[in-house]
Amino acid sequence: MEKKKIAAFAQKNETSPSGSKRHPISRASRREREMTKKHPSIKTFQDLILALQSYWIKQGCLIAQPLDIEVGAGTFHPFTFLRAIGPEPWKAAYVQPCRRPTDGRYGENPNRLQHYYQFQVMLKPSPDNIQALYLDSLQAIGIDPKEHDIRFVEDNWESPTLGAWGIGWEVWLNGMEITQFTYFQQAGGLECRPVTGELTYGLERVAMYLQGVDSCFDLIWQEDAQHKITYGDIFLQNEQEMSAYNFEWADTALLFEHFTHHETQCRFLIEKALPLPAYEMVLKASHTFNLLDARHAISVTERQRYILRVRTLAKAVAELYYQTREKMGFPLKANG
Amino acid sequence: MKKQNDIKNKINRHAATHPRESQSSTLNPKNDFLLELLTEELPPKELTTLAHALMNAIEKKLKENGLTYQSAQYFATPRRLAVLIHQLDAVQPDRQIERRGPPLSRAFDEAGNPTQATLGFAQSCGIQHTELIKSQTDKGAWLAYVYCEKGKSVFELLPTIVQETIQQLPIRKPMRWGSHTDTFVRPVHAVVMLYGKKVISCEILGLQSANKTQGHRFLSSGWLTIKQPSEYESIFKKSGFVIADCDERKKVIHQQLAHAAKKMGADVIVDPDLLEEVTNLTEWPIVLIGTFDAAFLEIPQEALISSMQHHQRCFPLVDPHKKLINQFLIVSNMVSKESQKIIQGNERVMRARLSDAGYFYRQDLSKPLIQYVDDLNRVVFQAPLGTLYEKAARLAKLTAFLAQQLGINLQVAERAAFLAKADLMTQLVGEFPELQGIMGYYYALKSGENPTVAEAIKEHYLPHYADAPLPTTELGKTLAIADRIDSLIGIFGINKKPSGDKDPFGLRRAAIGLIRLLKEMPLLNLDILLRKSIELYGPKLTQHTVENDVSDFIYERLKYWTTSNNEYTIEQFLSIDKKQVHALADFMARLSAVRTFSTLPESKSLASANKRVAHLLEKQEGIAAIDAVDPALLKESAEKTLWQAIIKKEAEINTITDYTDKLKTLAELKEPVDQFFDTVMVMTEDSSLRQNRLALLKKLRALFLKVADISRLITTNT
Repeated sequence: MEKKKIAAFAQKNETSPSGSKRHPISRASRREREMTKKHPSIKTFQDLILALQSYWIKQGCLIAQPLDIEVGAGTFHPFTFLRAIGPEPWKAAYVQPCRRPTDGRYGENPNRLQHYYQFQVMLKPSPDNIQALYLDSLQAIGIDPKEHDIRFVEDNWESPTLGAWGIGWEVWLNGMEITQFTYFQQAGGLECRPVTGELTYGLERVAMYLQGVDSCFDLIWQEDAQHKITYGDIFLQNEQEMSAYNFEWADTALLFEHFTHHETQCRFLIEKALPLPAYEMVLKASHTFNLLDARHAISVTERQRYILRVRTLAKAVAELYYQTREKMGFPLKANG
Repeated sequence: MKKQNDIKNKINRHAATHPRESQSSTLNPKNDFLLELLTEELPPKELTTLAHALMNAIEKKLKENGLTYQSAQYFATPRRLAVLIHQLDAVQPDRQIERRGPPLSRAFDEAGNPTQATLGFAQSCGIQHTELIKSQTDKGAWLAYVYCEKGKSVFELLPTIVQETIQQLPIRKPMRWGSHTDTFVRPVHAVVMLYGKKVISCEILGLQSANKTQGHRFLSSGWLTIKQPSEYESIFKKSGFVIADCDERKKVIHQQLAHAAKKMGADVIVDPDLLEEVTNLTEWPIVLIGTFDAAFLEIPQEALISSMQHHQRCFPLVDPHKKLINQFLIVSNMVSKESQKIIQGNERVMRARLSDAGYFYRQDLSKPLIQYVDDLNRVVFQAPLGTLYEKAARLAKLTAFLAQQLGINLQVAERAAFLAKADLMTQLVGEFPELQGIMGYYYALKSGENPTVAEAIKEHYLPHYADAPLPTTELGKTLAIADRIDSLIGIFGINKKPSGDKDPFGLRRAAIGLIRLLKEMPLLNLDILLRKSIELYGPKLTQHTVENDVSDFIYERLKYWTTSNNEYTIEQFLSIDKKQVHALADFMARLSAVRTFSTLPESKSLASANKRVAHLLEKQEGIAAIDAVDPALLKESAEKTLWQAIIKKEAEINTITDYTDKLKTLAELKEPVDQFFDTVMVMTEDSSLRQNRLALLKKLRALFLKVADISRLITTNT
């Protein structure tokens, strides 16, 4: 049923591709706006990203670009983790590609990927109406809370490698987790004052729901009169090859060396009072650890020690970052 | 005494001068009080505890403030905590305050005029010195000013009471939000403080109190005004789409679940913890029926059930043969015209979840169970004790040792023990730890293991808790015993025994399980098993007293287990020799016999007789005792009769195996024993007679001691 509705609307849309601008603004655009409210035109993966971006732009967020380093979650982007530290306000939204080597399934599992996308929203301080803002964002992508069963189910977040934790929920849409919602309490071992509110949409999950498909590889990424590209067209080969690399071929001896190198570099950069490059080293160490973990190269007891090593770095970087911002007089403080 | 009356008179007089006040305190008007905190979604597992704690703390403070009320009630939903106090006093009762002035001895001079101290005191109280009264206690006499402090109204008291209560709530992880300084369990959006129809104006967690709240997040819109506390529940039901009372909501869900199951001709599996959780995840619960592809039913149903319950908070349905069917129940929080969308959404997730379970299951089956045993090398059991693989190897040896004593098949026992922990390394158990043992059972069967082996693997985790079912097969019990002994010896052996409320390895539960298992296995001797386990650990254990430590620990757990629910009295327990704990089944048989004996009319007198004998014998310690009774030295008829009776009973009880029957038989000694103590002087001057009588009594006591020391049944203060 869901599928049909979206498909029907898609057809309608195709007949007048760049419609609204040519029509007189008044009636047509109002009608379109009303139509959008009932049947938003989120039919592709890229439409979903656009819709979320434009919604959060309206809420005053700056749209950032993804971090160019491998990370396991949007939280690792300095625009969330580092910006959550200290008193400076910050509002940002961005897509972040995430890598979780152990989640790879050679493209055989319809729901598990070692590389996927998160849409991350970071609001500091967390506004009092943050839940309402979030629910409105669902409306903006065509999910009517009055038709569905939307629930905020307790799920407190903790990142042992970042020394960070928060209180929050996973948001359920008819039993499916579509968003992680967190009030940061600590980052890098530092108390968050003010508190950052973080919203992390699982883009594939949301898109699968909107498009009514059971496999993320069937998601339509782009579709117009000439093109139709699916998520599988783009990423299936990547999942297959990267799973092979992550699980079978990653050179563990070299990765152990890398880990030590990143750790040493990080300490060195901290000594040089350079928190931003030092933080990059934390991220690289963290990803290296994830790769070693996927290769089962680290025993269960050692695992804890490695996590602790990364956390120690993350905490030192967090403190240093705070100090450098403090020295600069927290320049964005007046920007609230 | 007289002085106290004086005070009373004075107060009465004082009160009488203010008739209006007096009236207000005797005819204290009452009204209902409502506190509601409207919050963001609260943690479901903490919700009921918090609401309860909120109510209790408020009640406690009301009492401390001398405010009475008829009853208290709490409400809790995902978005609110509320307390309703019925018929609460509007004001505190007036209190009489006595302010102490100078001692009487220094209050008046010789002429009887007030001293400077007295005048000064009166002045400081703002009264004439003649208004002071005399107050006397054991410690002396004073001049005093007695006055009436007017009770404060709830409008003055409740803000502080509520503020303090909120600060003291047992919140597991308090949080901050935005730029606010307050902490609470979740962000708060509105506070209702209502006494009768009036708002108690104050600030709570940075919010101004009012009489407005919100209903269901999606089904209700805007603010709801609560005119008076008694309307709280009904307003929500009328226009809020909220069932505020947890118990009622739970009942509604349970009824809907049962109803839906009935419609499907099935039974619903209701896990009480899950029911509690979904109750606290919904304000307006609506049960919906979902379906999944019957092909999933090929996966062991325990795995499907775990997946449904834990990941999706759904309720599984089973047919009359307890077999899972391909329908499940969803507890939604929504009335939707498009409920089909909600069902379809849930079905889609369920499909993905069950596919995951199926994927893990097939992956796990890609190699036989025995091959997972090697993987146990990767998991540390406890650092100084080595890996789980080493545990499996020890278990195999210990179980074989047990099997030998029980006369069960050695190879089968050893195999089961060696495989027992293998499923911990499978993906499904990694995902659902509660499936340990159960998946081992399925994988063992699929790997072509002996069904007895498979059963034992499944059962060796039983009993899960104190009253839970025991394994049903002999090998299951044997393996369960070996597993618990290995853990107890290992953890005690590296000195990590439980202390206080810390028992991270669940050793208390393990010990109770062990006791219950050993009770069923009379052939096993605890001491021998402990020693064998110690031997198997070898040099890994650093605690040299480990055998005694574990034995004492089990004895203490046994004491707790048998006496904590009043099944046995502590005296009955202590009547059994501690050393008997090595033969647990025997210990329990004796204990049960003593309990039965205690109900006999003869028991009291025989118990005191035994106690008396024990005392007499104690006093003789160190003096060369004659153990044998010389019948020739028996003079009195009562001692002769007792001797005959003892000989007879000794012969009788040697032919009886049952401890209860033994004690019943011995109970018949009451008459001759009473007779003996009534007529025979034990501590007579004649030492040979005395020694002979003591020997006779020793013999008597020895008869009882074959079962228990019934002298212990006498409590010291009777």
